[in-house]
Amino acid sequence: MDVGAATRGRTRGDRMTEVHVAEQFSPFLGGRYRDDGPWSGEQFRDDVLVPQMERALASHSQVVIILDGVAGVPSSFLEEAFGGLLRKRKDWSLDKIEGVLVIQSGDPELLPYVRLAHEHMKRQSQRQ
Amino acid sequence: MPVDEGLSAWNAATLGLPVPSTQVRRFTWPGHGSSKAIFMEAPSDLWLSAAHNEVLGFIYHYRLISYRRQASGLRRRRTMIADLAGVKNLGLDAALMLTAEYHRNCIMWSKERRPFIVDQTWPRPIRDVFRSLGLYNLVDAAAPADLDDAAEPIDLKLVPFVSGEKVEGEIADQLIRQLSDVAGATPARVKVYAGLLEAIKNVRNHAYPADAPPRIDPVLNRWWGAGAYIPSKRQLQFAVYDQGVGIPATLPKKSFWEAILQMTKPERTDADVIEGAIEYGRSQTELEERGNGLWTICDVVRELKGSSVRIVSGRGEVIWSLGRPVSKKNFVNPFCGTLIEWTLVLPPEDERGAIA
Repeated sequence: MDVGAATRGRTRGDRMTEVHVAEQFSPFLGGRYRDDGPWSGEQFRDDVLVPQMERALASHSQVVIILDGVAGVPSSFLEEAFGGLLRKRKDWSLDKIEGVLVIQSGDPELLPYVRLAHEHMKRQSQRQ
Repeated sequence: MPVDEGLSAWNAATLGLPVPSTQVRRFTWPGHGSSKAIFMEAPSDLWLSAAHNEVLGFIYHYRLISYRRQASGLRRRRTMIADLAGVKNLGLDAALMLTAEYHRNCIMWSKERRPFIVDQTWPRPIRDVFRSLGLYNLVDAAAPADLDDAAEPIDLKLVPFVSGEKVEGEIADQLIRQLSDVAGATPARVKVYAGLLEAIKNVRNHAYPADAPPRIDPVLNRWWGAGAYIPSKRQLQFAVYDQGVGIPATLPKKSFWEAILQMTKPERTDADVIEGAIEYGRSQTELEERGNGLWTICDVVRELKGSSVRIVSGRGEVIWSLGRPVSKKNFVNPFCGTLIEWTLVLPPEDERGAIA
């Protein structure tokens, strides 16, 4: 898998960069931390999500994370990637992140995880 | 390793368990000529659900004979061969446990000292099942000869076992894909993936603590997974097994242990504690970062009528299924690790389009 490609994303005009998680990161999402094994939430957050967000914030564009095609979304992966985004970048408020970050899936089985990712960010924001 | 402490722990764990018959017999193996080995007879029901104590006694004694001499610092261990000639019924649970023991032997020892398979007297269906499971590949054994074609096949189509040390989604997905191939479908695939990874994550994070009590067998920090399809019942079974300290032993270290204590009666058993951990997870929102692992494991079957999850760990066994009271059992002897086994009932063929 090419994490570099995910870091670069696929730009749609000037306003939006799509990250197809299954193709550009891995279809086999893993545990919470890098030490747990490959394709962890920590790896996704630090190698993909944060660089994409930084770029999007600088260019006033959006990052669209597309979950379609992943085998599943382990709960600890999701929390570390999205809840952990606010822990990693304490200078980013929830409003700031949600103004830039879009999470999508067209797969009904994956839709609950889209909602859950947003809720993890909200929960982390309330804790900070 | 303090051998005496390990042996004392083994003795305490196996007190009162059936002792498998052993015999010293000659056998031949390509490249080794004729040698003597200890043949240890497997129970006729090599199926944990049907013969819990017999299977447990067999596995514990397999470990004793495999590792006692090594743990004592003696260079040459006795060759031990599992004799499955008398096996009439076989379950995924015990097949996975035995395969894990063979696999650990293979990791521990060089190729020359790997365990042997002497299967001339095994019933053909038993050989077929272990061939499907990948046991023969582990020890570089020749595929079993087709001796008794008339034997009734076992109603169990197994897929090759998988194993790992980390939380490896690709390996879990490999198991799911193999099950789909053999059964024609895997319902709730995304939830199955999440449940499998949760079980694997529990092994990685909790099964093999650094302060685990002494034991006679080596610790590999590993998990094993396997699956099977039972055509006559349209059941899909898959399991994750580890050789660790067990869930009831690890829960007291968790932040939510006090909550579990309050949910269970004072004279709580291991099965009560496992049930308490499931119910605690269920009572939490899905946002909670800790304490909902066992519930995530059970959640796989929440929307699948007739399906269930069985958790065997410590001295307890819990079977969870939607709409039924939790089934709990307690045993005198502690289990040799943790086994989590899902049984999913597939809908009839004409309704499968929606789930394939």
